[in-house]
Amino acid sequence: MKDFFKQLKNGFISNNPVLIQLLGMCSALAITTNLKDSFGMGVAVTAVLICSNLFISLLRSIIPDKVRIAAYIVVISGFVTAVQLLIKAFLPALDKSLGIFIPLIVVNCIIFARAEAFASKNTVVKSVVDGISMGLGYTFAICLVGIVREFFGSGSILGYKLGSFGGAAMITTSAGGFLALGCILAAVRAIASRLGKKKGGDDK
Amino acid sequence: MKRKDAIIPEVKENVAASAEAAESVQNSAFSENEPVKKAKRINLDEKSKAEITDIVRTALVLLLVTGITVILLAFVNFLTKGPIEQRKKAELDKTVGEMFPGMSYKEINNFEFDAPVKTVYAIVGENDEINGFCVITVPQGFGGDVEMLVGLDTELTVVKVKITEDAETASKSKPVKDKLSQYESKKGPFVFGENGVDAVSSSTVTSKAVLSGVNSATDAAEKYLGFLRQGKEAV
Repeated sequence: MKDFFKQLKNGFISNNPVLIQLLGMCSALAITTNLKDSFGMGVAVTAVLICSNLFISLLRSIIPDKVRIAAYIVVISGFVTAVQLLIKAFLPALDKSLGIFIPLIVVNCIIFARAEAFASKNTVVKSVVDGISMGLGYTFAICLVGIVREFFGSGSILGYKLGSFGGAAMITTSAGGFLALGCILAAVRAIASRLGKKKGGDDK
Repeated sequence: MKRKDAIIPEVKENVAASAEAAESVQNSAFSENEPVKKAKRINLDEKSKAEITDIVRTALVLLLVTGITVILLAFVNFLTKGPIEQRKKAELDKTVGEMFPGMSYKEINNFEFDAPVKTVYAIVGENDEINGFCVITVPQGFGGDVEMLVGLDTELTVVKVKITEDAETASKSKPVKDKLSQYESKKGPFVFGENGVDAVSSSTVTSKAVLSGVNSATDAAEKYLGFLRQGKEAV
């Protein structure tokens, strides 16, 4: 159980795929214009992560080293297509707002990186937990960006207007996304280094 | 003279020698075939066989992985096919309801429409008379197909234009989508700069796609009305 929480903390904070590993940045910029889309995307990526980690870990002894990349891509794109079909059928609003970024989950570096670095070398249970933790970390990171961009861009959270904030429409453009993400990364690094100094450099 | 005499026998010798050599090579190629082949087969057994087995095994594993993925995907597709079609129909119902309240629609099956028109629905009233058309047309935009819904009445005046699916750059398609009402209550065929219809600057390709879509819709409806007037049965 302790390992489970350690892995969770790893994916969420110390080794966050977006904020620390700097993976999956395209989606972190493209669909984070509001919180709802960010959360939907986070859930989709987490689902694909868990399933692909599970399968690749199951097949890790069968897939020869030479064709592992081809095999991973087949598995990942299979799950992404399945998730896309399910979203189209049961969550059409999300399908309309995420649009082409759902099939682009296939090339989201996070999924491939975890498959290569973790799932292919660890047991099924550990890989599933890794998928959960990385997925939650990713969701947390992009929701953070989403909140900032929605609040300053449209003055709302989840579509509910909050007073007369917002109006910085630039932050909802791609350029604004870069700026927002950059500032968030800087803030996270500053906080992390300060916490690190306090603890005496305890965690990775 | 002396040289010639000396050369000719030499040449003759060389010719003879080379002929002999050629013959011996030919002979060896045929008669010594078995030993040569046997030698090659031994090589194949040792090293190449292992390689070939490796390649075949790799290919089979890839086939297995892909096969399992395809089966799972086919299952999910089967599960979601119904709901997806239901949603599409519900959306169409809603759009037709907006354009032609209180009427139902029927797909026109007895007439072939030119591309990019995909389907034409006849809007029918209570007595099955045609009150208008809803044309689904798919012109080519910048990033691919632009799926449009064009509502027309029996005079071929545009009731409404809607874009249902597109792959255009969002910043380009948004001003075009906002300006779709410029076609309403007007009769085609449309040309930019006339009758209050204009392209959106810096969204030329998307604007042109929408224009061609609307024109193809009015064209299709006109052709169908002509077909009906020839006395054939209506839908």
